[in-house]
Amino acid sequence: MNYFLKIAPVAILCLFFAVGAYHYTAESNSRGPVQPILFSHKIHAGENEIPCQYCHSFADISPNPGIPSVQKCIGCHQYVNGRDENYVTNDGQVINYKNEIAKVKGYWERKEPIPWLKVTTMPEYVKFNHKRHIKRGFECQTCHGQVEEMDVMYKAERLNMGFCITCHEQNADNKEHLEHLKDCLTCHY
Amino acid sequence: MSENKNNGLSRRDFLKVVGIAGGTAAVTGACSGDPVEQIIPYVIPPESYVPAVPKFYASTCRECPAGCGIVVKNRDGRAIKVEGNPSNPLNNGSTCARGQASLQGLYNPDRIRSPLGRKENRKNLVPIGWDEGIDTLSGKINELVSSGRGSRIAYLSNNVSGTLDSLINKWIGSMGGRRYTYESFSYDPIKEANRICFGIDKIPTYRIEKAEYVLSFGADFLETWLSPTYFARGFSEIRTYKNGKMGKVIQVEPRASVTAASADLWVAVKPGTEVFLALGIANVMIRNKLNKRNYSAVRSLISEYTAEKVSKLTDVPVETINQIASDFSKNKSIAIGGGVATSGTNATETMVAVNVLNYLAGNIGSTVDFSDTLSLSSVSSFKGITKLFQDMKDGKVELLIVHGTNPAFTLPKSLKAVEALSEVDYIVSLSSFMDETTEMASLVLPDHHPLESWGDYRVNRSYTGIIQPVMHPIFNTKSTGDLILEVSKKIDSTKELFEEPSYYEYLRNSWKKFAPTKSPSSKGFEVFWKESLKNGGIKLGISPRKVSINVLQKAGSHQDTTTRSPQDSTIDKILDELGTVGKKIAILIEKVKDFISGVSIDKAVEAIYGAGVQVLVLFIAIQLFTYIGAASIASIIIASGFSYRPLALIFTALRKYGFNEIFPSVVQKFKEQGVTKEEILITIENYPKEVKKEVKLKLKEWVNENWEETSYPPTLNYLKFSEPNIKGDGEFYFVTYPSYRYYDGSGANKPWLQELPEALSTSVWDSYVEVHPDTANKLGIREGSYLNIRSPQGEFKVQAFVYEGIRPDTVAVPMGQGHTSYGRYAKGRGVNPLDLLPDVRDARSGGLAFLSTKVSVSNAGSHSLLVRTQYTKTQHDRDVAKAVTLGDLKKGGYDKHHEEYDFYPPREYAKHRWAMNIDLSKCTGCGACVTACYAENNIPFVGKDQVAKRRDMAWIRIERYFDKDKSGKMDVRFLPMLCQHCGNAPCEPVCPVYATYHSPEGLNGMVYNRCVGTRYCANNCTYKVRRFNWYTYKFPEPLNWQLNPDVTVRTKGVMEKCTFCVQRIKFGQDIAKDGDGVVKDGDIVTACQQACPTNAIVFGDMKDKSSKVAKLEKDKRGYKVLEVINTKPGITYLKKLKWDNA
Repeated sequence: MNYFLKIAPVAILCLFFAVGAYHYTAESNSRGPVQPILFSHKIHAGENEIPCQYCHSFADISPNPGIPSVQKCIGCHQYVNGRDENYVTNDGQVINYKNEIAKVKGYWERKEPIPWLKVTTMPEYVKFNHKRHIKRGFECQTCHGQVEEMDVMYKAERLNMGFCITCHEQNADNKEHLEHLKDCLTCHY
Repeated sequence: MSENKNNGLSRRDFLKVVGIAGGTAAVTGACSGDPVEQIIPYVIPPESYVPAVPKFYASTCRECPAGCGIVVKNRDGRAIKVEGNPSNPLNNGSTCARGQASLQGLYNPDRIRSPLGRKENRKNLVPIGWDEGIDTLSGKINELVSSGRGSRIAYLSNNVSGTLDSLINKWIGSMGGRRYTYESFSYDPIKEANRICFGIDKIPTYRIEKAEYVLSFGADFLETWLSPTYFARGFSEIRTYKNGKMGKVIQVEPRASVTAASADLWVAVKPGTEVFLALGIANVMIRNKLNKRNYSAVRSLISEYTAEKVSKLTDVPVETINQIASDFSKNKSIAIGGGVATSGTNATETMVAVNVLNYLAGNIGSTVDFSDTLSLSSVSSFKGITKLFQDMKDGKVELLIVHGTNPAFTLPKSLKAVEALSEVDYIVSLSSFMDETTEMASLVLPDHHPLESWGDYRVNRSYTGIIQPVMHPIFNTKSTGDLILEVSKKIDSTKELFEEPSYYEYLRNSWKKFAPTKSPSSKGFEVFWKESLKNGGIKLGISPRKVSINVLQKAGSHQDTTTRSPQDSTIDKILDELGTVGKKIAILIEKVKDFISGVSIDKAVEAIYGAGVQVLVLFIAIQLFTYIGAASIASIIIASGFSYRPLALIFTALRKYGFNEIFPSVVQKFKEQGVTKEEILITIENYPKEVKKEVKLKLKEWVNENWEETSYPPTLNYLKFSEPNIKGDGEFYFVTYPSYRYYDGSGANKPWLQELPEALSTSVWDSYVEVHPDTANKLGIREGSYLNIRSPQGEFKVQAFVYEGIRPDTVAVPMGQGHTSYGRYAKGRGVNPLDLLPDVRDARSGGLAFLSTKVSVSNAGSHSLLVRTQYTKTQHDRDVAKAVTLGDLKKGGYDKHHEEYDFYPPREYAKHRWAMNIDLSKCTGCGACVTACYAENNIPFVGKDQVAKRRDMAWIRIERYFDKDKSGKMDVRFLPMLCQHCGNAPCEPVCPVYATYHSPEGLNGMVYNRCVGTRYCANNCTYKVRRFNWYTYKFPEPLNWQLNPDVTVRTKGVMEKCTFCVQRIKFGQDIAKDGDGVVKDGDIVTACQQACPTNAIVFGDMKDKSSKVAKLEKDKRGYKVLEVINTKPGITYLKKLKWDNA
């Protein structure tokens, strides 16, 4: 009995460990962070078929794709005001089109940047060059998942080194190219 | 144990639980999702903004008066790297260490962040708003000007030549105030000597790159003298081995500077006697008929200085003097003077002697170029500055505006500058840093850093650089130009002075004078302006200036008045052609002959002055005789209605003394009496129509161009050469010299410069005194011992550096340290050698004499480690930094390349093999590469304590070795040491986690995120180039803004080392892939290579057989360091090329 009591904290910790292990092995968290505006990629990229690079316009000319300026948002939304109707997102959140778009306009009128939360992060020691991948013809979805189906943007892939290397291995043109694509200095410096 | 068990968990169980808990925490902690960061978009993005793609802005470096062109890399709105501007005619794409470190001035955590004021006489400066600051200043000025005390306003700035200079002059001038420009090193003796010898009160451009033989009297031309990067390029030319030839550099000075270390011969002259050595060399030249110019002019000056006599005076062997004289005259040469040689009380005399040498060798007009004089020539003379400080002491200055200069630190204590400043009612400092002078200010209105400002800088007559902001201002500062415009609008007397709303507009308007199209709103100007911004400045056409060497010839003629000078025939010719007028003059000349012949030049000038401005114009007309002809001169005479008596006087005086002697005297006389240029122009304009329009025009043109520059007559005739007057009764000469790291002390607040090892001592973060080994023995001290250095003016205690490169009778301390303010990195560090100097000036120019005291040196009895990065002085016979003599190279006595058999097959490289080549002949040890590397690669500075533990983080270091050559002369070798990217690297196989490995492109890769910090690699590295992060080093805000986003910032426990700037390789390859995919030779430039002022470093692809680096690898001088270990380095060094007999 005494022994059981003694072992109990250990058992509880084991449980924590199991949860941790589950987190580690499971596919990435399907819930993205709560953004200041419920910007739905599903509505923009999915239903309205706006190309990714219309907003992320630097993806093919810079290592960093950039996020659109408030000016860019308002470029469309000065005309698109949104109906006064509700919209239910994939995970059941209910928003009002008009109210949500009004938030963008608010930022624009106050000339304030929208404090978006970063969804896809890379550690500092990884240098990922968007330009090279886009120019080679990869779809954004390869790494970012089916963005056009996401109401709340989340990190679809873990983007760990295994993910990168697998793809690099599959896409090498020849042995020399493979050697280059698997070279540490390709991404780490 | 059993007791424990009864009471609770056993030790073993406890460890189990803790272990599991820790593991769980680690796992869940590490995997609980990525840290949530914000990404802030632009509201309205700047035009043509692309994130992560750098932009480059051309500007001008303002760390010293040289004014090199720079290109600043801006990434996402922050300036992160300074590089040389390749289109700049001076520095040609290179920078020095100070230029690199200008970023740490910009991002200095100790910058003044807003205007400061003293409220209700409180002791401390407290932050105020700009409105309050401007109101206070304009109120103060209004009060002074309205009560007629405008002349009690003084503006003291550094050399801000260009538009800002004229703005300040106009503003201060309109209020009746006084304007001074003060540079710590103003080269007064050079200017004065040039005035004496050539009548030009200017600093010429010394074209070292055109010379084959450089004879430098103390000029530290590779460190701080005039324009070090420009001279370094010239040095590189001299050191280039072509057609079996190489130039030679001789450095004459009592202590071997970094420049002397790179010279072929260091002549350890007795301090202050350089003047005699120069005269002795001239004497030998004449005696051996080696002179290229007529020597009669200077014979009398140098005849007594025979080689034997000079040898006794200077401690330089006769053979050396003879050798130098012979080499100097036989090669295309140049003699320069500076540093210690021009800092005694006889400095001007030394420079005159140097000028004589240049004259005799025919260098004036070829390697010494007076047509392109430096803007530095026009700073206030030291006489003027001392007058200002005297006036302050006398309470004649009520408002002093100090801008870009720190006299409280850079003037010796004995000059009592601090006392003088404290007598000033109100000091306004425009400094961006809290320095010694700013601390005394009542109001601080901080200027932008030059990298945040608009402006321009006139370097010399032929080039004006643009200063453009390379990023948004960091703090609440205001550019001085804008400040003046705003203040002037609030002052009653200057309200209407400027129309422009901002200094940017003012600058643009002032640049309209350079534009090809003059109309202000034209499109042409916009094109011109954009082009100038892109190029970083504008090259201006200059007419070559003919330097009248007649001056020197005339100097001799005063002893021999019977022979007629060439001018006399001109005078007769003019008189002949004047016709009847001439005849009348000739008759009168006979009459006044007796009077004039007995009159001295001064009396004649006096008499001519009495005749008025009309006569001055006539003088100018006669001067222009060949252009305008005698008829025009006659017309002027008639139009002016001269009486014939002064005419006779003029012509007689001209006959007797010649133009060159009498004309500047006359002009000077008129100037002294307050005759202005405008007055002369009006006189010319008012001539009746007998005088032709084009003659008037010609006269006016001449007056406009030459009036300011024509001055006093040469006094070479009466010059006597003397030994310097050295005060103090100690037994050692005290030499203090500008440091190439801190300049006059303004660099001391930049940690990169503090941590840059001084090339010879390799000391960091502190001061030291150089003493000769013999002196050290005599004093019973060793390296690091504390010495008391005492002069009548003061005393300090400083550590000794035992140095072979200094005379036994001399001790030397570099300037720049010993700040009592100026931020956390500078304050309270080292000693200020200026504290020991007496108030002594150069007798002729009035320049500050740095070589002016003897000191006594005594052992203070204590010792501690003199913190340095390289303690070993010799190569211990390892022959790391190799050298080869010219003779041996020609004979083929160099190491033959031969293939060693290897057990392993050679490594194959598929596409590239990145490699480097370093020419040891060209490396001057200046440290530009080291600082550039710090800037590019986010290398932390670690401070003195950590360097003492050998934990400095530099990826590239300059190793220096002192050797003796065959003849026993000191032979200094510099060897830039960085990761050799070995083909067979010892570090790679010992890494247990494969954090370091050989990349398919020949790089020795270092993967930080793999590294676990065993440090095996560093232990096994042959070249000791690996650096370990013992801490996560801090970059205090906003120094961290400078960090390069393309390079990982390393944390504690990680090994790091040179990567061959892999981020630049990747960038180059990325750009190439956007095009045809081919990386061309020269597309990828490493940071060290980019900075190197002598182009000693070449980087490229060894697989590309046509690349520069591949060709240089096969050079006869090529070798690998410690090749015998078979590491197969990727860096080839070229042996230092030496003269068989320097």
